[in-house]
Amino acid sequence: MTGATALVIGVVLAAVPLSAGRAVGGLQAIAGLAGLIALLVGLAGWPAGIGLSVAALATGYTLGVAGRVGADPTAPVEAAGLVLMAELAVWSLEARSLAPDTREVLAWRLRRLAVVVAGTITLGALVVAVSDLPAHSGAPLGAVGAASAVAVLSLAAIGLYRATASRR
Amino acid sequence: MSAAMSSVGPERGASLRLLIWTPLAAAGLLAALLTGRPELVVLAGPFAVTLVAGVALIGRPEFSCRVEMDADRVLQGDTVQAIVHLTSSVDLPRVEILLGVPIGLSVARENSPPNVLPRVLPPGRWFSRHRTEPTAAAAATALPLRADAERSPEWRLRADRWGAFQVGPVTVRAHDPGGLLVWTATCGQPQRLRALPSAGTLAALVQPHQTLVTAGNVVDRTKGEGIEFADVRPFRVGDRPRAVNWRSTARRGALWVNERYSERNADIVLFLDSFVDKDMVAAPGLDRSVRAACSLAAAYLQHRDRVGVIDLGGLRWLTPGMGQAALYRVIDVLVSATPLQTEADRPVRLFPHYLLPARALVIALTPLLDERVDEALFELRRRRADLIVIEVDPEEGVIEPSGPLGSLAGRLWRLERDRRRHVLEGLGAVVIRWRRSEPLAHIMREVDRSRRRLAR
Repeated sequence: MTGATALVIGVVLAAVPLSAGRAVGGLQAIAGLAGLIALLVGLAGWPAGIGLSVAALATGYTLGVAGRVGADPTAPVEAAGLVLMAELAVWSLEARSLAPDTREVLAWRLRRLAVVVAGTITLGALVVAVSDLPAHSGAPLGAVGAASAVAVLSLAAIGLYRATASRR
Repeated sequence: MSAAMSSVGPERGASLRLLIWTPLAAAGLLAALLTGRPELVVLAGPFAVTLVAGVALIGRPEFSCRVEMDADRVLQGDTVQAIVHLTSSVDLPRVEILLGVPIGLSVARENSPPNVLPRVLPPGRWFSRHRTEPTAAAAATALPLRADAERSPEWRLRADRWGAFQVGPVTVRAHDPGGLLVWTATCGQPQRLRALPSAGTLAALVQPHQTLVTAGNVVDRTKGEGIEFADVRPFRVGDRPRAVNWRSTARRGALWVNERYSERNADIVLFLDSFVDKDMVAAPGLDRSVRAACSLAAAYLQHRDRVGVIDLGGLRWLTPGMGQAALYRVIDVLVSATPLQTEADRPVRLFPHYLLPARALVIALTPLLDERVDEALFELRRRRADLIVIEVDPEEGVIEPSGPLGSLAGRLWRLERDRRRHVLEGLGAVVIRWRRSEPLAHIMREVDRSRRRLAR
């Protein structure tokens, strides 16, 4: 079920860029096809195929927006589609474990999916909005960037510490 | 039927998400930098943010776990409830719990909790490398676990066959809230479960030729204190007045008393053949032999006889004992009998002399396929043991080889077994062939008839 849904989303993500009828349509079609094949391979049990599928479909989309002035406003939706497809494909692989999920775990998975998709759209919209700002926004934007980098590194350090430390 | 909680620190591993998301995020953000396209940041950003958020949520769990069963002995075909008690030191959204179920037990689908759906799975599909013994089925479920709150999924396990089993340990695989790491641990002391064969009741038993001096239910040939009338004789000093036969006394004009047969108990040794050929996957007839031995042991012990066991293949034995405790010990030895493929010799002298008392009735349950069993039986007979051989027919289930050569091989095999049977009969043992369709009670009656014929 989750695997089939991921495949349907993959087909949609591969087909949508083609509908614009751009000059790079042939390359987009190849990328989309490669993405679908990789997804099928991933669903068949080779997890790296899921990553390759996301990469190929993202390449197909990027080919369509290359040369465009300003950010594509539909990018957050495309990103949400890719994340949803990848999450569902991973769920499909995890569901092949011996242990079937209880309803509580199913509910947690659905909540997680909803949060991830909503977060992707929100974050994407934010990035698109920020990218439309004038290029020379000055020190404040640089400070935000530096603070983000520090925050990411701190979180990574905290996570690694927690993962390696035994219970205190 | 439960052990104390055992605590373990799990091993850490990367989840599929960590392995897939990391290169995607890195490649996407790098491509965004190189091409200057913000769309690539939008596409790769969610994967990067998921990774960072997931890393921030990581906490190393510690599991406490124990396996509990509501019984440690069940009858073959019955079910037993197995409960896994599990706690964790941190909140975990998805914890896979797998209880190893050995071959011979299966997970019963009915009577399981509605939110736990045990699945019977083919062998080999066990994700953990912590497996300790072959498992036929896994009682498995995935559920969330809150910090220091116990969860206790339960399953009903059915004993499909008799035997001694170990249920557990439990393999726990937990996913952290970010879904990036997988913590795997094996915990919980395995619980022992003995599935006892469904023993039939035997109305009539074969009486041994010789008895012990202690009181029992076997009517002995010697005269003494008992219930069975034997004869009348003249009164002697010391005879009890209640033994006076007044009718004979009145007829003969002097005091005559009744004589009675004494009632004694006997030693019964059950001799089990668990040898298996290298080309066979199971000892032919061992299942029937064990069930029959359990029935015989229960019946003889009920008659206050002493029962011992020799498992010739597994070189396990039990000295004759009596009472309910002896029954449990006998069944323990019997259900632990497993088909054994060995080239080692098994002469009777390997067994301690007190295991085979001189007056014991030895009942051997064997398919008469192994020469070492023949040798042991010959040796017993040479020692003048009171020997009964119940030949558990191995032919049922054997696929007759096709072609003239196969047919010839089949005939030779049967002739060889006939020869062994005749040698044993020539030595004075009673050999009765037990086909699958025949009840054990019928075989015991036949044995009794044969022994009476031999006695005449």
